[in-house]
Amino acid sequence: MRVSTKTDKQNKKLSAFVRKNTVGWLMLLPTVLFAYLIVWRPTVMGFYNSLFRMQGGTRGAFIGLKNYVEIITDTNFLKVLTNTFKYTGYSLLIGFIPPLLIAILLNEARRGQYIFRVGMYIPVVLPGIAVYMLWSYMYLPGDAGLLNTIFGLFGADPYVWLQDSRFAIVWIVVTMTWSAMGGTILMYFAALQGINPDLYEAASIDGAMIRHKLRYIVLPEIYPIALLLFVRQIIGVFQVMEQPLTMTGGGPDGATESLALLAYKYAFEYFKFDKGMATGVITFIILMFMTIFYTRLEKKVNQ
Amino acid sequence: MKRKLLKEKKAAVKVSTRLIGDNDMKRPVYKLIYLLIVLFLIGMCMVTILPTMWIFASAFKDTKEFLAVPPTIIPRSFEPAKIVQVWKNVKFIRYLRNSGIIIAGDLAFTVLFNGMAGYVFSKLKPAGSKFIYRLIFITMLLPTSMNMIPLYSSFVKFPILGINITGSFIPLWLMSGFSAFNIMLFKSFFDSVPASIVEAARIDGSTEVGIFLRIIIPLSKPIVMVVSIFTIVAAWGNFMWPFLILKKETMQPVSVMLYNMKSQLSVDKYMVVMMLSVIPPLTVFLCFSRQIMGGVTLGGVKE
Repeated sequence: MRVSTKTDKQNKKLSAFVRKNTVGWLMLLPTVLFAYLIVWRPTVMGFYNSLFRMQGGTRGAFIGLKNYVEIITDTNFLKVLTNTFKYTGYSLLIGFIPPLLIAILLNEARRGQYIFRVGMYIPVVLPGIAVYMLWSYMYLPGDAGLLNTIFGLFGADPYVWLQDSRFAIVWIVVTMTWSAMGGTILMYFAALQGINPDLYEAASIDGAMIRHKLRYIVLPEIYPIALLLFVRQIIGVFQVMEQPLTMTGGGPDGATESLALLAYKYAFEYFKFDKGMATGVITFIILMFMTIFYTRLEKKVNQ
Repeated sequence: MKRKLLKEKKAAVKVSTRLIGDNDMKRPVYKLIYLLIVLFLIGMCMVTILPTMWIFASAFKDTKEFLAVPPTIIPRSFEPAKIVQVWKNVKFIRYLRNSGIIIAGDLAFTVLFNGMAGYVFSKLKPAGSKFIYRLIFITMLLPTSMNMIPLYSSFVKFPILGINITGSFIPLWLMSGFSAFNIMLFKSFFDSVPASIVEAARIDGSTEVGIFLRIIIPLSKPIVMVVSIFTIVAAWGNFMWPFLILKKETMQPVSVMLYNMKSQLSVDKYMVVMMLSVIPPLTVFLCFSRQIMGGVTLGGVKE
């Protein structure tokens, strides 16, 4: 009797162990496979294949860094690289501070906060492609464009918008900001709402002015999320592709071409997959350097 | 009574997270500032809503008015028959069906596999799964631009099987089978489900998969809802991958059609197609705005 209970117990323990591990790993298997197939394998393959001459999807001869040399020495490359930095720079200029400011103001509203939030979030749910097409119609040059019509009411001359090679990137960035800002505003807003109200009360008792509260309560509390969104924005915008692809095709005269678009064109327009992958690796490396540099800087500032 | 008290308490808390306190509001200067803030917020909503409304206004204009230069901002004519005609001409129903199939598959893959992974990480925790969890977390930081081309070529020649699965919906579904972000959302929600419930079900002899499907999922309706809504909106708007993979017109979803039709349709008819493509996500958003906007901040806090 006693023996059997012992084995029963052991059996139970064993079965719990088997259940936890075997069943657990079996249920995790699809995820591991998917992660391998969709993220890990392509990342490694991208590095590896970029060192070969490729015929369509199959690997040919090993050529070392030749793909990279050919890409970097291409007359167009420097322009594409500067464009990509321009996208990032302009997007930080146009798209980083405004959502924070809007969220702070939104937090002041005593009524209708919900309606304001819904209104500002609408562009985020629209299909990206619809947004890009909508804005390329609004940017039409001459009298036909909506923006020209609106600014014309105030006496402005028609402008060429996306066909102005100096500022086309700015207009694309405006579109990107318009379509994504709603989400950022909501995140800042949630962070603002999460601040401990006692801080404000204490500040009020001490007779703090608005700018003091802003400087000593809001900014320090919002800092971590702002940092996260800052890094995220750099990483996101540095890989911009769909917007120039659908709005300008990289034109006029390559003025809006980005690194990711260049990679796309190498692979899907010229069918040079090796060069497309190498361009992807270059983007990856630059981003890594920027992230490392940034975390270093961040540490220094914090000290 | 209790609810009222709670509401009052909530209101009191809300007031004190503002920069302009109640006492400040008694002074005219602050009243003016507040008015300006509200006007600014209304203005911001105009900026986000009006371009969207413009699609609807343009879609209902008759062709003659549409082609007028300069365009009218507020439509004078109203021609609903045009919409029916365009619907038939572009065979909209076909693209709608394709989008529907993609969304259905994406939904199934997202909830089933990401949810199951979340369950394993939250409740089963087999030996070594922490390592996988960390690897998954790292994928969130990887730039995606490097992945696109190698991933595409692995769809052209699928690993091990060696078959070409482009031209089918399968790659799109596979890609939604793994999302680090969704896995983490599921995990953190499942963490709040008491272990005793799972334990009780085990004693009743349910299998782990059974527990996940019949107990965990029904108990986790809020998170399943949020993830599903986001999946639907994202799948509807997904352009790049369907564009790369589905070259046959009969298989393309609405987003790809929207891109292709730009060069095939006259502008006024194009606006109709655009309107049709923004109605579904807008409807979903207006019905589930609370879940969607809550979900955005969930993501912000989580990371």
